Amino acid sequence: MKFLWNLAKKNLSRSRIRTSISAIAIAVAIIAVVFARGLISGMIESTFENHIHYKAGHIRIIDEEYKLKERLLSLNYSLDGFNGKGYSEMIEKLKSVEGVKQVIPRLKFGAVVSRDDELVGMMGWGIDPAEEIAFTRIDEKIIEGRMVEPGSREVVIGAGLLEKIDREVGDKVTILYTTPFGSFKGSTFQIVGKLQSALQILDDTIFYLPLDQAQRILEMPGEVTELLLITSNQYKAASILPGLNELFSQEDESGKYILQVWNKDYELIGLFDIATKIYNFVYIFIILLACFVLVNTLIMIVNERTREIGMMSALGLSSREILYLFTMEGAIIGVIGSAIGAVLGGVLTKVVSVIGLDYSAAMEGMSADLMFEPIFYTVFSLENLVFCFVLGVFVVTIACIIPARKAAKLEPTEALRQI
Amino acid sequence: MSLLELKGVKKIYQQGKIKVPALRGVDLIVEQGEFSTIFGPSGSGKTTLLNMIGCLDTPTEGEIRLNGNKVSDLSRKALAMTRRFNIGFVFQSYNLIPVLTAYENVEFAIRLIDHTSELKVKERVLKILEEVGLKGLENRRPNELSGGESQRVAIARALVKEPKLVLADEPTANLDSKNAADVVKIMVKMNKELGTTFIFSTHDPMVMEYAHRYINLKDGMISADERRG
Repeated sequence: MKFLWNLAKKNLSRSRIRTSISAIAIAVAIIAVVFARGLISGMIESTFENHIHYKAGHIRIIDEEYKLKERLLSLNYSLDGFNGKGYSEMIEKLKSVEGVKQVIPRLKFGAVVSRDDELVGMMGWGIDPAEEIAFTRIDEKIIEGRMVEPGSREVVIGAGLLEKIDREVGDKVTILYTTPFGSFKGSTFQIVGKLQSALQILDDTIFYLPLDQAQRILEMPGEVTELLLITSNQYKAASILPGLNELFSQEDESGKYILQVWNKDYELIGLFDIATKIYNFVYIFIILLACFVLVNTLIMIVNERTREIGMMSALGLSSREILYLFTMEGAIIGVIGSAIGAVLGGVLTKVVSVIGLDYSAAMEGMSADLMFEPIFYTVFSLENLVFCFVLGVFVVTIACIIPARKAAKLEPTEALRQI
Repeated sequence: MSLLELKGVKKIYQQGKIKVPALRGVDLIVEQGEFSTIFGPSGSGKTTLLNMIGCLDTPTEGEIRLNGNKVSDLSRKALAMTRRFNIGFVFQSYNLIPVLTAYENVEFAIRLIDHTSELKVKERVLKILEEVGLKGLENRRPNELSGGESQRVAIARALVKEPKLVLADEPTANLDSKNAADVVKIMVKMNKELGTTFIFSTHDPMVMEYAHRYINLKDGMISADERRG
């Protein structure tokens, strides 16, 4: 077979332009696939990260009823620890479960601020600043001022929300809210920081305040609305569920709490899995489109070399060897095209992983609930390049079997008769 | 045992609804070492008969035996193997592979059957190229060779694997008289030295001069079969 392999290589030099065009077509397709995979990986990773940071942790503990009323920011289904002993004790016990690295408490509530004669709706997040910084690095998103400190009546507000309520860092703001007991109250806070992130929900809707202050104004001492558990590996978060279930069966008599795993109990994340599988078919389709150029070239080659195929048959080459010869010719073009495509696609992906692609105009009408950032950064990985290269070579080689079979099926006498 | 035996070989081609008989019942025996020509007018079935003998095609009816083995009803793959090991072909238009040098074109044929050392293959290829008068032209590609030189490469390619039978379909038709004579002389020499059996189809009286046997084909049947000397 070695001499057939050598012949296949030499045959590619017969028409360098034709070989180059075919290889370029494959390369362009592979560039597109490398880039698309990098972009989609970037979108998914970024969305997963935001989903974990601002919504789900790796595992979220909430009251079962809160799940149904979460959109209304109900405070009636709070988390008050095991048997009402407070969330602090619950955190300590959760930290003793193997695999739990960090526990983040949050108290989320709805509020309004008056601006002239209109009310601006917003969402307050009572947080433990140290834990929140360690988890989400939120301090890096503060573009002016600083993060709130425990025990202080201060807030950090998103840039978009600050603009909406016409306030600046250093100003005071009176926030109106309803306690779980139905009292409508107001409290004044000092604005100590301005937050700017890529997420619409953070910039336009949320303000942070110290957890103790949120508990104080809402009259909810020892209560939060949720606890987020962080593990060492987000993709193995579910593996600590048995330990947690054991703790809850021992400590929690009410049975009112539920555990939500970030990638199992949220519909949106499930959709990403489906989307990823669909995209894999799209990648194959893109390469197949490029294969049309190559298959067409090979069909032309087979037609041009019909007499030669007849001669090779006469020399004693079997159909299988002729099939091998033509498939190898296509496969070599596939290897060259895929290698060039993988390298150039890798360069493009690397560049966009630094500068990003701004989709903000396209995302203007989308719900703020979606944790998409308007600037997408691709993910550069060698795995992506190797995957696309192998996929390219595989698909191209399979596609080449069509013209190669045409060559292999030629009857020697008919082939030799060809002028 | 004869090298080649044909008994009642018929070949009918189907062209649409019409059946076209190309061979109407050929009986032929060829012995080892013969130097025979098949001649006859166009459409008489010369190429079809060579295709049958060369295992490039199978007869519609009748039996072909090569070296005593029945080859007329072999599978496509078995036919390919029979051609590979037993038969050499020389074509009117040389049919060399343009991207390969003269050496590589000849090597191509031997690589199919010989998986021995590089050195032995090289030795054999260079020897046969020398015998056909192409010493020094080994590294030339077909587009750098004259018609006569190209046909010599084709002869070397057919002979390098030392087949029992070489079939040549009008091998001198594209050559001038000097080159045609040179090519035929080479084949005569190989016939004598190696004992290779040659069967030609030709219109060329000069080629026929060298033949030991003349098989005249007319309307798909052998109308005359004469031996000289």
